[in-house]
Amino acid sequence: MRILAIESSCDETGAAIIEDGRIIRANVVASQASVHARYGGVVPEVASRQQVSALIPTLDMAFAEAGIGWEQIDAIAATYGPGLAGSLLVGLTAGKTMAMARGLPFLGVNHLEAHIYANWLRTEAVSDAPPTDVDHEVWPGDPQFPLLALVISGAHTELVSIPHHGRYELLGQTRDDAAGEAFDKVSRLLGLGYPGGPAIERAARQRDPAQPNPYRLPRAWLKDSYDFSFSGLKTATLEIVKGALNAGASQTKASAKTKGSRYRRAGESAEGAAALSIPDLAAAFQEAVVDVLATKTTQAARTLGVRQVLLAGGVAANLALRERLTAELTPLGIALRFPPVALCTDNAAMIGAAAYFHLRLGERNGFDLDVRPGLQLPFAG
Amino acid sequence: MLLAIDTSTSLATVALVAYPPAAAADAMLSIQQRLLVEHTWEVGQRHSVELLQRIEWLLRTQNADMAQITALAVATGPGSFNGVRVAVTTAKSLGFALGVPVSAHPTLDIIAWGAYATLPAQEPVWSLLDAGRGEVYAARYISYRDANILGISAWGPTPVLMPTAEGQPGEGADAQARYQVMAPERLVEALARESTETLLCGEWRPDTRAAIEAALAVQGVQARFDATPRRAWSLAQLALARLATGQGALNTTEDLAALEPLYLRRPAITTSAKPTLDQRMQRIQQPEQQEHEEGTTHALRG
Repeated sequence: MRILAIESSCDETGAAIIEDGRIIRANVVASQASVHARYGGVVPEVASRQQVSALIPTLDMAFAEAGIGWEQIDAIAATYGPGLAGSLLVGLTAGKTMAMARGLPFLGVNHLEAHIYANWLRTEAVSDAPPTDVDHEVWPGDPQFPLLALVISGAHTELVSIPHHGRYELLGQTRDDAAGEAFDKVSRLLGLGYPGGPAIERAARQRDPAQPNPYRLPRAWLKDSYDFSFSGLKTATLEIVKGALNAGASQTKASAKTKGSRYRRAGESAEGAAALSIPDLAAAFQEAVVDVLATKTTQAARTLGVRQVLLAGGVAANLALRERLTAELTPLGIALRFPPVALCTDNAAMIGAAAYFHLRLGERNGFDLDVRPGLQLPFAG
Repeated sequence: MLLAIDTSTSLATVALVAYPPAAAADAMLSIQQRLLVEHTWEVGQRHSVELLQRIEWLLRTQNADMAQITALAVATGPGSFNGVRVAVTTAKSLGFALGVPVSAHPTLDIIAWGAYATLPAQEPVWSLLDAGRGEVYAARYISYRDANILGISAWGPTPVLMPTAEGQPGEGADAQARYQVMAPERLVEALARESTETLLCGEWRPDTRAAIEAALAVQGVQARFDATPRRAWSLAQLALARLATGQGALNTTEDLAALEPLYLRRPAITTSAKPTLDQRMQRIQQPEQQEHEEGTTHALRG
């Protein structure tokens, strides 16, 4: 089954053509990150407008990349939530309309579920390998149930048990900021830019790991719970920056006035932030986030007795998290699986993957499907 | 068949029109005989939810399917941002999936043409739509009393520049300036410079009309109101006229990619009264006051 998939939940416009839920024939993503960087976050109306502008070029490139025409498409899928209403509206309207125009089945896809199904995607063609156990839809190399998934992105931090396709049991989630949101906010605070995840990771890599880190940030362990909390960590980071700036403020104020300049963000500021080491602080922050995520995930994997753990969502691209989790899980005989970086951030290939496992069961949506900005994973129980 | 789609406001309207003329004889039909079916309804904010099913219903009345659509007409706004995006996205998607030409028309032009079609010719005509924040989207048109779109010397109602205190601006002025966002007081100031009574046509909330009437009274200016709902049929007529000229329709993928809604307003990037954590931080770092564009930013979604 060949699916044309569309993703438009936030500030990326994606179009992909996916075969049998796994094989990527085309995967095109138009990012607006540079547009939103100046606001330090996504402005919804700006994002919605960019979605309209990027729609046709993205679709056109996907068909060109796959080298196929409409006759080879069997179904169309589009994200219907969660995300920004105005952005979702564009991709969903496009998906429904094209399905109606071509007389094809249509399916709305849960973006969070799609992040999980990014783990089924293959970057190398394995179409020659005979599928095993076609009835239960297991191919060689597929993730093996039961699974534990850590879904981590700009809006979500969830630890989820997945005993089989389509069943999700929530073990824990963030009580305040999502992990990616914390990265974005602290990155802005440190003057490292947007998006925050890669920016903080880059900064952290600049420090000499052999040297002791002068900063030590708190972790919210929330005992006897798989829940997370990152707001205290964010505030602690703010306090350190504040302290450093206030310490340098008195001497800098005079020189700033005479030079006619102004204080700048911590990362680019001069004397005012001389006491602040951005790479050290970025590393301390990242380590605190990774520490909590990895510890709780390992604990849950052990308790559930799963053989494989999946990472899903934009923050799954974080190398420090991947390394730390691999180091913790490998001795326990548990494999960590994660999509390549390009499939961790928002993309339409994962939408096509998730759609396949629903479409093959005969699931369809009508052309009256509405966007669901606050959609959650369909948790059982 | 030509499919016309307009979801610019909480009022949506769609129509199917005979196109292209099946035979040379059909081309001589009165333009009025080209309309096959038209449907106008109160859609609220459910543009994307309701539009496609209404189009399916339209096709069923003609015993037709999507494959028989040979051209599209779309209203590009101004209006509700999301409403306009749904119509434009639908037109782009249909154009891309069916490979048929798209004729795009500003919503204010559609309103003006509707007024010319149903009212005794009069000049000038102003098209208005609620723009929120107590303002209106506005464009000014002069009479097309002799226009005959079937005769196809055709055109569409082209907005003309608004009269200014200095008199009529020249033709070279920016076309975008012909579509404006105006407060009622500014609108009435412009109306005061018209030499005859003006017809105001379009859609507005009662409080918008009350504000315009109050400004008219204060400035002693005469104007008539015509709130006849706009019709997809008006849009279809404009599209038929343009398609007949063989120019101005969107035929290629590049054309479709370049099709943009006519928003007229910049995205709202509001300033929150209550400083966020990040703003407090910036204040520490930037003690000299700076204008912030903060507020309605969202973190990346999962």
